[in-house]
Amino acid sequence: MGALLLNTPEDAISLLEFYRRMALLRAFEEARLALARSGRLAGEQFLALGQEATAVGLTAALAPGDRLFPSRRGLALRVAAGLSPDEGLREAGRGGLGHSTPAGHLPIAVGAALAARLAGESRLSLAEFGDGAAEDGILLESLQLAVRWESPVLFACVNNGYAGTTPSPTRSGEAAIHAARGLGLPVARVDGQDGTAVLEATRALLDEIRSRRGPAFIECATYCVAPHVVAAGTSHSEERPSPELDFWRNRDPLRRFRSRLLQDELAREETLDVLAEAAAAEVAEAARRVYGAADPSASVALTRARPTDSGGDA
Amino acid sequence: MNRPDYAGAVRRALQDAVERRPELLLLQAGDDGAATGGATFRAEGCAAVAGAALGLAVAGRQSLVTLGPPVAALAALQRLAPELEKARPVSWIIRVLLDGTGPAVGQFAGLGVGRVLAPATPADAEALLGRAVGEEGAWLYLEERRLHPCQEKAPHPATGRPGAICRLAGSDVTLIAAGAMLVAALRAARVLSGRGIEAEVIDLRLIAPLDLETLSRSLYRTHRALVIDEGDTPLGPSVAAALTEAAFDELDAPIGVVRVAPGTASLAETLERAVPAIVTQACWLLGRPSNVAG
Repeated sequence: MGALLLNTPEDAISLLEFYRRMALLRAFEEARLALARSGRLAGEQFLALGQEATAVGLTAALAPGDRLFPSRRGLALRVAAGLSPDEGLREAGRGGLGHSTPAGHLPIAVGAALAARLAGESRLSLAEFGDGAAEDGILLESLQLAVRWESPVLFACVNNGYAGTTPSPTRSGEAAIHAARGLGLPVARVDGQDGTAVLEATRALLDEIRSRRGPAFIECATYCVAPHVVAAGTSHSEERPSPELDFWRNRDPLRRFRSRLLQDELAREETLDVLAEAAAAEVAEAARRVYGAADPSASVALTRARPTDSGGDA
Repeated sequence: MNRPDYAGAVRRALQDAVERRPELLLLQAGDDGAATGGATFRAEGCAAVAGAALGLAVAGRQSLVTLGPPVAALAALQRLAPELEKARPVSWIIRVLLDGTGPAVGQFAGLGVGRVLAPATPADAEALLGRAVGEEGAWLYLEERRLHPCQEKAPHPATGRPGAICRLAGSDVTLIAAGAMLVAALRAARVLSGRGIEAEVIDLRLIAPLDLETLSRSLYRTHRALVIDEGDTPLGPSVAAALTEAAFDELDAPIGVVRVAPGTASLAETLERAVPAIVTQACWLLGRPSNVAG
């Protein structure tokens, strides 16, 4: 086993497990991309390909009983938090993931957190949203409610560089963290490609939420290497500038994590390979069970637009 | 004899709710006029407050949420509809204060927020809110500000049973209405009576789901019906369609919809708009002259 990230055994996650989860998400999002392109997923798919360190880091810090409110791009967070790839792929096939509006789930997270506090429970809400959603006025309303009602919520802004198809610096979602700070929330801005950085910052904020009652805010800077949205029958494959893609591919969170483990001699290469292969196989199996094809990238467009509940047609 | 007005009846029902159900959280967006006060959790934005109420419900905590003004309440509830679809079943009471200038009763009928109550009298304002508070489940309570000063005129045994009731018996035509439109329907029935037309007035009280049994029973007597719909909302056509399907063999004429122009906070002006429209259309339905001036 790899070294523990923290000393407290009850909430520690091993580096190897962290790596395994990231590999699982990578395979999951790649499968989803292939399935979407081959026309077998209904609706639009908002992928978090390349955002694995952020997804695992945010969710690994949660305690049992905590509530996760992911955005429509947050299916990966649910898989990271334990949703099976089968269930995840089924859900993907229904379209309309999670929430219909980018920020509509934020006040729901506040209400659930308020209920927990009033019931004397220690559970909190993690509300994940994009930097595009951060432009929505309901974020500001939700921040205020959470402060005023002392609701234990971690607002997690996943800034993946684009709001829709517009580069984030030309938009205003990146200002949300200042609004949060202005309202008195403890805030952190972290490198979302660095899994342990995300985990440690998240864990510190969650501790603070639990001890001082009230919300906190984290922004993770990351990048989605898939198009903003993928759907069957449309040419949503907007091309990102290749220098930009190259820049972020060089900061690939999986590869980065892997080289650190190897460099620090915390894991052997074969171990990591085995973990990654097992994760990929798990997702491939799930895709076969749910969508009935060994290779989800095989182009069987529109022959199976909906997932089966009873398994594949083998 | 000091009879309570509609606003007082709501206030009493809310006080009673707090005493009977101390665990019921009171949330409020916007201003609820003189009716209550006393909400524990208040903020301005309807969307966030409604969302928080859903979050509470998801976590198993029931709340009574007052939303206003009505245009913001409607937008908030529409925005929440997809989330609500996934969260079902939820237990909550959404109270919206209509004021005549924003969206009317019928626009709240098809939101899927819960069973929709639209009380028209003080006794009902109290009894129906009491019913919603006393029962698990999702409720949308449409309170009518224009009726706040109204006192109970014709005492009717208040019943908490959510369903339609017959407010006035008649044999020629059924007028179907809820909220402020009930007052207009009762006035129109008086005018029609002067012309020899005996109108029956049904108070919907529950606008979703519809109490088709009570409505059909009225058609067995009158064989003709008009739905009074303030604004151009889905309520009129959906009542007409459902009732046509339920009691087609009883009908001597297509069920009509009286569209009353919305947009005034004055009950007097509302009645000035609604009563002649109802009278004219009822006369037309029965093939009688409709020169209202007489």
